[in-house]
Amino acid sequence: MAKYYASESNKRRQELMVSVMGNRSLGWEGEGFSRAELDQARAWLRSKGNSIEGGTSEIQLNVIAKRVLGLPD
Amino acid sequence: MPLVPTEEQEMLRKTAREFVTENTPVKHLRALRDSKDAVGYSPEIWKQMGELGWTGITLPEEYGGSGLGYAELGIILEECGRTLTPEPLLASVVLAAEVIALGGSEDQKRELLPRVCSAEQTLALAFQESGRFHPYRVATAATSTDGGYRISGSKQFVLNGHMADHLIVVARTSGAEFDRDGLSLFLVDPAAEGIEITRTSMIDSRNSARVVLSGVEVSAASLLGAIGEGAAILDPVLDRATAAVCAEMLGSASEAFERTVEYLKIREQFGSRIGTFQALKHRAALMFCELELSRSIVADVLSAIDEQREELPSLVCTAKARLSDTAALVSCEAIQMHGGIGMTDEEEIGFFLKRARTAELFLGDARYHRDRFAALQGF
Repeated sequence: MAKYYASESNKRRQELMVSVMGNRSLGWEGEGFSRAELDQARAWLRSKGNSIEGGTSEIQLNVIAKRVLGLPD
Repeated sequence: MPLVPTEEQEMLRKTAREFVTENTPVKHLRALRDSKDAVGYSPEIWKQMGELGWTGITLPEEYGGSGLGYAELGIILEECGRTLTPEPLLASVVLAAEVIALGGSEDQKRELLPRVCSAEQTLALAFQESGRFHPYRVATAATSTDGGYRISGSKQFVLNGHMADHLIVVARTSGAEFDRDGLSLFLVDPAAEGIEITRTSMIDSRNSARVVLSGVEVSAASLLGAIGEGAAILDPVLDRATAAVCAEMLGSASEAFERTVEYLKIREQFGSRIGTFQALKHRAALMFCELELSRSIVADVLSAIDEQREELPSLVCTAKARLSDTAALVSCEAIQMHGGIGMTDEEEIGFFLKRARTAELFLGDARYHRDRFAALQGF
């Protein structure tokens, strides 16, 4: 549950940052952006990997369904 | 609204798909990005688009255009969206040339539109001043001088800004930031004294520039439309451009979705193809439904422009809100369903996620357009 919620809530958080900062959060390089803005773009992209690495969110939910709830295969 | 495409429209789609598949597949954008190309698109391909009539498709025939509708433009942009084509159709032909076509004097139209249609020159519209879009958030000021105006201010995210032969700058001649009244539009030579143009590198690898104007002098003849009444031109142009970007987003989301469904059919995990898992099947089916609704609203909003329907602004809000939501859903699900390989730069699906987010924010995201819809309806 912790893995699932941490991954999914980080993705939501990063999407909210993009929404708040707008285009300022979608810069890739160059002097038009501050270091923090460029870092934000990378943090947003990186967050997409959270729900894939170390067992996908789908796998976490499968484990909860099977082990915690005892639902049949 | 006709829901069945005409024979001519079917032909146009076929031609457009063949052209972009051949000339601007995703690897075209990748190559431009990797080589840090100074232009950001291929001038040679742009010329060919001109020969096909794309660079003047909606512009009047008397100025060298094809005089076709937004339904036809939408077909081309949808196909361009499928391959993430970076050539500046939206920036030059839809945003900037439409300002001249709708608000320019006869002299201005005769001077500029034929060169846009023939792909000899490109234009850019400089309006945005902050990260999030608002059409009247303009602090750039223009003051009267002897025989002209002096403009000072700073513009961001100007599509095609560093390549354009002419800039159209939205500046304030009266009122306060966020006022609809008091905006004026000026034709500005990008080589004029006092202009500094810096290309900005965005995650979608498209052309975008920062334009700083420090006391730039322009003649009285460079005013487009009436002084202080720029919003009367800007509003319909931005509505049209928003509808146009919805068509492009539909193409990109459809392509990302189709690639993902293909992947679900071939990728094996735990001894079965992942497309056999019901959790993924349902989500793929839901995306298909969202895309079908998106397709309908795009067809409707484009035909509303061609039919000059009064409800256009509300319809534009509906379309952009829905397409932004669909693009967000499909681009995120595409990455998740591709799994680890989707996070790599070698796999093209990531390009679709990056373009989806900049397109969502361009001319207002879902939140902006829901709010505007409520305001238009008097809620």
